[in-house]
Amino acid sequence: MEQAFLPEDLYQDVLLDHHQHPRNFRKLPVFDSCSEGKNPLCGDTIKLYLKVNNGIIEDIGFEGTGCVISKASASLMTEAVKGKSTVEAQKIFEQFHQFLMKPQEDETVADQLGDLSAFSGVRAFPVRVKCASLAWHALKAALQGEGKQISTE
Amino acid sequence: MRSNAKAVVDNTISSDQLNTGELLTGQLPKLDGSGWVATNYSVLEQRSVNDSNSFLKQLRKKAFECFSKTGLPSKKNEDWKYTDTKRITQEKFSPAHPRPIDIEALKIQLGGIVPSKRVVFVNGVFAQALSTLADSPVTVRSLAEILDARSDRDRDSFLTHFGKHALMAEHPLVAWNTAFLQDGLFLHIPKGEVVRTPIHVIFLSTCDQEHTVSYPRLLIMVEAGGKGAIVEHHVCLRHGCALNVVVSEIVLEEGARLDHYKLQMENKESYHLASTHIRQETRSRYSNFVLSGGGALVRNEIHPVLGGIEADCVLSGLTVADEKQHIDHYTVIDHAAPHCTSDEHFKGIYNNHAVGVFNGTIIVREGAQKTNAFQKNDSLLLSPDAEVNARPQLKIWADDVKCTHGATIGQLDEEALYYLCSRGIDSVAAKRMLVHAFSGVIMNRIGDDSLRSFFQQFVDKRLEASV
Repeated sequence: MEQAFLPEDLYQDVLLDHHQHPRNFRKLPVFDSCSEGKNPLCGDTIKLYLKVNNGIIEDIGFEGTGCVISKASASLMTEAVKGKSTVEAQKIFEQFHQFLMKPQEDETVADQLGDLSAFSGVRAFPVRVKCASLAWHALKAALQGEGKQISTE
Repeated sequence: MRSNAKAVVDNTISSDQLNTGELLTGQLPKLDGSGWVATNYSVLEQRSVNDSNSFLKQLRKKAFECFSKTGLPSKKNEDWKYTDTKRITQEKFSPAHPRPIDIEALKIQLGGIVPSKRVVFVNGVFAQALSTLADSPVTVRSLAEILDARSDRDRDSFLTHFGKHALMAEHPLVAWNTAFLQDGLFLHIPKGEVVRTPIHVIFLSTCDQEHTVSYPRLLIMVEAGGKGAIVEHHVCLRHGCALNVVVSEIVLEEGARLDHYKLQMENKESYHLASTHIRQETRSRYSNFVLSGGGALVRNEIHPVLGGIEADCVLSGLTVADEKQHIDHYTVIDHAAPHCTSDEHFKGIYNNHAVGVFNGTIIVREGAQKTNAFQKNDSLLLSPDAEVNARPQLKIWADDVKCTHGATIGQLDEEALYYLCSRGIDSVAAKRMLVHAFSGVIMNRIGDDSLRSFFQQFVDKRLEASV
């Protein structure tokens, strides 16, 4: 992480927008699975609801409190996986996870991730990686039907 | 009456007693290039031509003849495969001369405190003014005194062991050191005597002239049931290249114990060639801990012989090398008796263009049953240009033994580093934490708390500069 990263790089407009106006920010009236997640380092919490039909994520919703990064991440995640198959959602999770941790050589991954690439600043601030990935871990837990609460620890 | 030409006359040594052993076979090259060693020797010979000490003259002559046959081994010699000695044979070194040194100057080199129990050698020569020799019953003296006087009180014990364990014909460094024998440490711990505080033996090179050479020699005897510890320091007063060819002979009688610590911290222009030979009798215990952080080229040889049953040997080493340093640890643990144990663990941290070598051999002789030998070597490379050569060897001739050995060479775990960063620790601190943890295993082998702190400050300072 030699380049000097400024806080502005972390808090890009997309993130600030999703924090102030989070999408799918409600409990689903009808859901198949849910999961809970906590980030003890930061105090972020999330409760995720999924409605899955024939392997497709029909509807998704979340509740919770937390920092800009965690809320924006949850919001963007719901947008990214709604309407996609559970298999595709898993794939995006892995791609995003890699994207968060390592500097990418080429821009193709960033292009594929679309709005999610707004989290590029997290690479320079590893201490925020847990905020950015909490929602995704909750999604994974919900898809796998683990039932118990997940934690980033 | 037939006179035996080889009889011992007065205190001169016959060629038998010099125990030169068998000549090495093999392709050992002679000294090449400048021939500065030969020049220095003839100067030394000239200077002592009127000297009445025929014992010393004879000893040196025999040693020089021995050394001339082999010279300093080149990379063609299997035991020196990874260490190129050309920069030593091709540079010219002149004898270092003793200099008056202020105790304050010494303080800085020794980490801020001057140990109260110390023997100091400046450029290889005993410095009375800087030393505080231990009280009797332990004998701590300058070797020069014993070499000079014919009827010295320690002459007998000196003759019993000197040159008997470090054999000139088998080790070029020993032959070289003996050819220029001048001074060193004579330490004798009598039967049952327990020495509670470590004795610090300080070898200081002044480096006020460029390319000087010194030949420190140590002879340490611990009688049955005796116990003690020594801390051997090798430091330089300032920048500049100094060569030290150091030979030690250590004898531990039945039940004796010696904890031997070595701080090898010369400046990065100097050379350190050391050969330590230990003879262990029944139930004796020898531990050797070496911290190698200084020197441009270092060759540190340790040769313990476990000659009596239930003898125990513990070797530990930590190397911290960077820039263009080359540090070579060469050990041969000889299990010559049954029921002996040995435990060897060397670790190294290498940055920039540093090169590390570990040659660890364990010999288990025929009949040395129930041997239990453990050897581990781990190296951490902190840069893509650092290099390590690890060559563990087991030579086993007994069939009821336990010998384990392992060598690893690796880098810092990226995931572990990331883990620390994700907890808010900056990348430099994270790296230092992992490196510190890597070295911790070796540092914990120092039993004495104050000695561990003493060595830890040197490790910390060295790592701060390097990582």
